[in-house]
Amino acid sequence: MSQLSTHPATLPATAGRPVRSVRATTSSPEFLLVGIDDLLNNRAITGAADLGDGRLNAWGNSFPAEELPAPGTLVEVAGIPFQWANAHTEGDNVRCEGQIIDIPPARYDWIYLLAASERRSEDTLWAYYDDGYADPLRVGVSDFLDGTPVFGELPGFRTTRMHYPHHVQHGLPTTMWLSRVGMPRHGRALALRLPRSVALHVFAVTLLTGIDVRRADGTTA
Amino acid sequence: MSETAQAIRLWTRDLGSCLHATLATVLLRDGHDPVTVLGAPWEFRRSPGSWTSEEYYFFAEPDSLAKRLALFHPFESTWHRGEGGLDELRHALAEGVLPIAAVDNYWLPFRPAFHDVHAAHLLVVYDITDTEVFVSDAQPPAFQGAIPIADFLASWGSLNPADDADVFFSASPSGRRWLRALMRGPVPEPGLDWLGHVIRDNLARYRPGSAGDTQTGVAGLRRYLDELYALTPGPDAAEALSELYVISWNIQAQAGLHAEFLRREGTRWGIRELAEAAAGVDAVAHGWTGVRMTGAHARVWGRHRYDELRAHGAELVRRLEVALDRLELAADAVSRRT
Repeated sequence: MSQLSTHPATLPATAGRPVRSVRATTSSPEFLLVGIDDLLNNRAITGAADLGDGRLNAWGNSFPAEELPAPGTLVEVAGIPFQWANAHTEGDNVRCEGQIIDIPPARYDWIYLLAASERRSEDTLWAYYDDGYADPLRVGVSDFLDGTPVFGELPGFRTTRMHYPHHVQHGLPTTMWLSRVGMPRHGRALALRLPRSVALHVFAVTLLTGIDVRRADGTTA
Repeated sequence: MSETAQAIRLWTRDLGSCLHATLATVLLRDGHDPVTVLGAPWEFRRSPGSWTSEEYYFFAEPDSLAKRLALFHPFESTWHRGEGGLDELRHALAEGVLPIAAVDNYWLPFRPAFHDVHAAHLLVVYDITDTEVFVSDAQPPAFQGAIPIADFLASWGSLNPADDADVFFSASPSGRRWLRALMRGPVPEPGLDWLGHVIRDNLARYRPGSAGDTQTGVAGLRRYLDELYALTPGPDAAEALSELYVISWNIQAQAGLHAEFLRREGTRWGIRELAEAAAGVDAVAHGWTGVRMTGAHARVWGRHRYDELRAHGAELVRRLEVALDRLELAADAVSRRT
């Protein structure tokens, strides 16, 4: 992950939210890695010692911690860098309940999510702009259990096993999806609102600003 | 393994349950396409109070289970009590029938719930020897192979007692039941005339629908959702939320399969309106996720948010109306091609 280790720069926090800008070269997109530690409200990742704490779905299943990144690390999935959350005993992801995520005011092109869904989720993620507009953006996340990318997502992480409240089920893969949501408006976005759906879980958020927008804004230097 | 065993195929979909999966395996063995047979019908039907706590519950009366799930084909099924034991299943296999057995996951060595959770399930039996029963189960983690006769009998004859670890699919004895499902006659030619008929027939069952004793179509769905919005936490809500999770599983599964059917037909005939209708029906299937999971989290985790349930329900109905409008356009497009 040379892209991450070579050119990271931490920006001033937005409303207390840590963000990190990552840019490999002057001709590549810019990534804004959005911290979501303050929003963690659900346990969807467990170890062998705390299987019973899993709440990824109504059955108490969870992802195996051994097959996912360590808390607080920087990861790269299909070329997209992410800040993996600093998990604690109460949460390692955001179960979507309409939480607001403040972001540095700027133009963005794509919202990238590492996400999982209990069954398929097709819902609305809101983007708010500095001129008062709010855009409803469609987000689709496929079932974490099946592994079929119904919305054309890429697999973010695939595990070889699934955790149950009382045992580890080997040979039952799970998928955390790399989903993306387009932001077609040429405007300065201030905030996002996650969907209002408890079936949907977000583990990391990164915003991408394309090179064309950066050139237009004169931010490619 | 016998020749029958070699011919069997696993089939499942992410939104599906053991119900569609087992019937699909039977259809495939007999040379029928599950997406055409099980994906053509699309409807909402509910009979208040008639549900059972089984993954494979689907309100079919007065039709048979297979008939209701395959409205446009002569597919029929009958439930049997296996009072003759395994010999009854052997006899069915000898007749060329693949028995679909009602089982309890607790006793099945290949299920995650093995010796942990009681849950009603279906699987296909495709061979029986003196010591083993060959079973096929496409639901994750997929399994096809032999298990000891003792394990099968324990599962097939289980009382499936109430289990706090599965409030949705326990408390329903297997009772050595098994389902015989067969195509009873010639299947329709899946041409454009047939496709147009299928879409129009589905539309007619959705619009306007009925809010009577049997809730059907748009009106029935609205009435059912109104009942859910009125819930308050307590035993009645627990029962209603369990019912919601159970009955909507295969309703959601059918929507997902119908969308696949429309998408495929759209590609086959080059009719873009079918792809648009498929997206609309898929959105309905996904709308069920919000309703189902909000209800399930209330039932299991005590997160009672009926305001959210109402919002998801309203969105589901909105999506349904959009999907039906698109199906009207798709039916018109199909008619123009015939």
